[in-house]
Formats: sequence, C-alpha cells, structure tokens
Amino acid sequence: MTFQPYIFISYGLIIVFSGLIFLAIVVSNIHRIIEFFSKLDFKKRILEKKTMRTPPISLRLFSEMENFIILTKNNEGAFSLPGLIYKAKRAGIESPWEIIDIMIKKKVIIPDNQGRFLWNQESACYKKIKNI
Amino acid sequence: MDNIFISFFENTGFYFLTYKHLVMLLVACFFLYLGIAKKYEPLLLVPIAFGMIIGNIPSPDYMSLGVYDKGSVFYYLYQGVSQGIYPPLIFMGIGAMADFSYLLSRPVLILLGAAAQAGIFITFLGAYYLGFSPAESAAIGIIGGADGPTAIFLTSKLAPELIGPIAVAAYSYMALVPVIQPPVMKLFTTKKERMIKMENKTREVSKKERIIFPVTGVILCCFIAPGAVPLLGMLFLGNLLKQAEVTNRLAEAAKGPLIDIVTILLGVSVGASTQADVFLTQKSVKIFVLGVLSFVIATMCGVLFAKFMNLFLKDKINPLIGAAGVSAVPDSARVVQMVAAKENPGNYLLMHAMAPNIAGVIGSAIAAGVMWSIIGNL
Repeated sequence: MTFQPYIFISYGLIIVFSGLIFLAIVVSNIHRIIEFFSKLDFKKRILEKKTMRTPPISLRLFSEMENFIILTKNNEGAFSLPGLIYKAKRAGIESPWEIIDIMIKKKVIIPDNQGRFLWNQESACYKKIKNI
Repeated sequence: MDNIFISFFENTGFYFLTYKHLVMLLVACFFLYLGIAKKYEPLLLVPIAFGMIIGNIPSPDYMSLGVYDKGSVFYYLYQGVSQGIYPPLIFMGIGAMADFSYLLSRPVLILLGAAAQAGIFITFLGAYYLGFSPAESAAIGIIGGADGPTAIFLTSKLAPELIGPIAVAAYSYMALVPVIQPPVMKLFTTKKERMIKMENKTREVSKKERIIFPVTGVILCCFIAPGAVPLLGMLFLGNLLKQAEVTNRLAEAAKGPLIDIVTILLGVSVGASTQADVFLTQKSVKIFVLGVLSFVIATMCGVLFAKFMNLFLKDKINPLIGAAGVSAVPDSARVVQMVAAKENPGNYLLMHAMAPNIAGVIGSAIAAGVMWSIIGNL
C-alpha cells in the first residue's frame, strides 16, 4: 500500500481535533456530574431509608419482646434460640438477634444450663411487658 | 623526546580539530550567550549548549567518549533520550506543576490547543515533499508542537538518527518563542482585535473536579491515541499527585528534584549528541528551516482559529490567545500577555492563555501518538 500524505494529515487532524473536542465536552460536564451526584447524596439516602425501615432498637424493644413472648407461648418454659430466631423471622421481625442479644444482656431471658433459654419472670422488663 | 611530544600531540583534541568542530563550538557559545545573557530558556539552553561543547571536543577514536560510542559515560546517559525515557519523566514534572483549573473553567478554549497542532501536520507535508521519509517527516513536523520532550519521544521511536538536530531545533525554537511568535501574531491580527479585553468568566473549580480530570483525561486521550500513553499517562499522573493532596511529597519530588535532574541529563546528552560529523549535514539545515516554519504555521493556525471561533461566540475572545495553543508551557502564554500588554497595558490575558497552552501540551502528545500509531505501522 502506497503512503498517501494528504489522507494521513487529514486523518491526523481529524483525530486530534475530535479527541480534544471530546475532552472539552467531558470537561465541561464534570462539574455537572459532580453536582448531580452530590444532590443525590446516596450515602445519606441509604441511611435515611434504613432508618425509616427499621426503627431504633430502643423504640422497638418492648413491642418486639411482647411478640417474642407470644412466639414462645407453646414452649412450656424453655425454648431454643435458633428456633426463636427462625420463628421471629417468619413473623416478619427485623434483626431478631439484636433484640435477643439485648434480652440476654438485660437478663430478660436466662440460660437453663441445658442449651435452652427461659423467660426470667423476676426481671423488671418482663414484669413491665406483662403489665402492658 | 620529540617522538613523545608528537605522540602526545597526536592524541590531543587539537590534532583532530576540523572546521566543523569549530562551527559547532561557536554555535554552542552562541546558545550559552542566549541562555545566560538574554535569559532565553536558560534551564534548557545552558545544559544543551554545554553538552554541545562536550560533544564537539575532538578525541582519538580508541577513547570512545561520545554519545554514540558504546561503553562511554555519555552513551549511557544518552540512552534516556534514545530509548524515550526522559520525556515521560519530564511530563510527570510538568503535570505536577500544571494547574488545569483555567482549562476546566473554560473548556471551549481547548479547541485552540487543537488548532495549533495543524502546524505539525502541515510541516509533515513540507518535509515529505522535501524528500524525507514519512517517519522522518513526522519527527520533523512534531517540532511545531513546541514541546521538546514530545519531539524527542516521537523522534526516538520513528527516526532515532535525527534526534540530535530535532531536539536542538525543538529546544532552541522553544527558547526563541518570544522572538518567533510576536511578528506572526501581529501579522494575522488587527490592532482592534489585539485590544479585545476578555471577561473574567472563569468559575471556581472544585477539588473533586480537579481530581477527576486527570483520571478521565488519561482514559479519554489514551484510548483515542494509545501511542500517547507514556507522555500523557505521566502528565496526568503528575497532576493527580498534586491535586490529590495526599501525595504532596511525591508531587514535590516530581516537580522539583526529579524534573531538574532529568532536565540536566536530557539537556547535556542532547547537546552532546550534536557531534559535528553527524550534525552538520544538509538534513540538519533542512530540519532547522522546517522547524521554524512549523512554529510559524502552528502560531498562525492558532490565531486564525481563534478569529474563526469569534464568529460564533457571544463573548469575543482575544485572537492572540490562539498563539498559546503552541504548547511551549508557559512561554507562549507569557508571550501572549506581553503582546497584549503592549497594545493595552491594562489587558490581562495570561490566565486565559493558560487554557489553550495546557491543551496544546495534550494536543501535541495526542498528535505524536497518532503519528506513531499510523507511521510506525507502515
């Protein structure tokens, strides 16, 4: 193939020009894209959404504990934690392990030394729920 | 006794001295004068001129002292030039020094950087019809990019035998930007046009924008012209180091000690490559003539394109800033300011001229990449 200088310089100029025009277009839109994303503020939105979906534990605690008592009603005293979590999930309770963790720490439920748990009927929380 | 003296004399530089060496030594002294007394790009011209002196001291063949003699110290220093190692390192330093804010705030001025690259392609045509091969013509044309590192890089890839004259031509003309450009700028503009005051419509550029630009810039430009990766990759890397603000130490090294060391090595080895027997040829004379023409055409195209843009723009631009599309950073922008200030001392164009100036660096690197990918493939 013979070298055609005019075609080469035409191609060359077109590539350089179109490259820089493309760059100019992108450059002139970078700040718009940044603005768009900062308006969206994804992180904030996700957090808000999460907060809306799941109220804080402190607010959920008593109502959810009541649900847990209902869920363990048929267990005649002791119940297994995996079983409770399974039932809670099926009942639509969000993050049941968080509530269970708090209940263990506050000694609302106590181990029966055989790998199962019992409601601590002496605990203040339990009494309060029962009164409600 | 006489024999020892004669034998010693036969091993001195005087014995091998020819008129060609004398010419080159005179040229070197003239360059030193320009660099030191006239302050024309002293950081480049002084090492180059001194390298020319070093390279043109005649010596017996068995000593192997020159850049072309395998095993000599200068041979190894010259590998940075002939293998195209120094130019990307210099580009990293330029990137670490450059502020793309002007360009980001008025992207339309990027087009002026593209227009000035026409000089490269038009000179290519001239060189081709003067009998140079396509590869040699491309290397000669890139002188019009007014970018020494780019010229050296492309020549090392396409026509390594011409590195000496092309590098000297590119750097000398870069140093002579204040002499070459003003008459061309005046020739293609009216007094009224030169007096146009540009509104300061630049917007504030956020940090995020300045960080995102080098990343998008390198991806876009290098996808279009992959041959420009070594140059533009390093240019944008240097700029990212600066803008990220978490790599200040690296940015300081790139724009300080690193670029200074590489400039010295590049200057001396390019100068030393101008040995009389390989440099003083008809080809070199043609290269010098074509080089200056390339500069003139690039300046002319930039100015004329700025006038063309004025046909469509609501806020007119001063056509002088088109000359800054010739990428000698920041000299051509300074020359624009100088010429504008002569017509109207209250006219400040330096900031506006920096946008096409930086775009010119990117444009000439893309042009080099395009030439390498097309002609290197022939």
